[in-house]
Amino acid sequence: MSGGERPGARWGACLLALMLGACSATKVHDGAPASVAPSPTRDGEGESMKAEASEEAEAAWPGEDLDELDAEVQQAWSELEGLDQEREKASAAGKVDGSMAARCERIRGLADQICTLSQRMCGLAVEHPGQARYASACVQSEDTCERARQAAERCPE
Amino acid sequence: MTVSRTNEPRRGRSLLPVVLGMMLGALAMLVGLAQAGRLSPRKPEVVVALGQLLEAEHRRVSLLVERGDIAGAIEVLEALRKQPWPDRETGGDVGKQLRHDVYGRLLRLRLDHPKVLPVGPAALLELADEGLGSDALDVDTNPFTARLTALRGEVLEQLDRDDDALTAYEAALEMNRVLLERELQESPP
Repeated sequence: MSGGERPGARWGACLLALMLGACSATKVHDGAPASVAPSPTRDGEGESMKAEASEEAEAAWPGEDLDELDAEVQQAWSELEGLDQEREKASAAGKVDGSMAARCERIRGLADQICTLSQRMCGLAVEHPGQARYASACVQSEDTCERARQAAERCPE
Repeated sequence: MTVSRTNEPRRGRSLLPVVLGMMLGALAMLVGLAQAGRLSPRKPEVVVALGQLLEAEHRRVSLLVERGDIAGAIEVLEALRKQPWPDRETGGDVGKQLRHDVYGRLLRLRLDHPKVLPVGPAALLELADEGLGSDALDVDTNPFTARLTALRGEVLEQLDRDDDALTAYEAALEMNRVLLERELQESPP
């Protein structure tokens, strides 16, 4: 603290500056165009421009009061939240589809293997007519192949 | 202002299930593998190193096959065949399955391209038997052992050993049937 400067006056100046700053910040944040704020360098035109700017700001302002604005923000937020939930649902569905596709791929692969083996076994049965072991193996493998095919067909394409 | 204020807890809330899911998934996998008797290699680091080597070599083989260089692909797989493989105690079932995968791929290539670096059916049978080893039936049912067993059947057929070929086919079919049942038990498609 220097010379005859009084602390009370200094605090008063600070308070005033804070209030002015808060007012201008509130306007900017509330959506009023920043360009209408009076320029501190144009002192002579300052007052009339202030009045004009204030009128322009009022005219450009979409909502009459803060409640209306808050309702709009809440509505926008609800829409955003809804979109987010839809995206999460779609993502989860995609994962399920992916794992199902991979599983069906395995099922189809196994069905192919089983049916190829069945063909080979039945080929051997043809080469060994009248041999019960070959005939029985062929019939059983064909049953297994049929069941595997049915399982594969239940998979979506 | 309202959006940014409430966005932070939302981000945390959306990440939490993902993190929990990942942790539960990892835990379930470990428990599942342990229960299936597949997580029992005495030296897991050996299996990890083997897996990394084979992944790179399988890619190399795929590239060679894509280029039509079957001989090159066979040579790569033959070189892998000569490398020291971990026994079941050291590498567990996973080590055996990795081995069956390599031998199966080599045998498939040799059967499909008999004129490339040709070998006789007896050598192919030796290849199949060497790959399967003496404890193939003890290994948990898996697609690689099933494929190698089926290929052994094809070789036996070439050797006119039809009874043995049928036995091999039956064993391979049973393995594939078990694998299919496992898939279907999860939930019907």
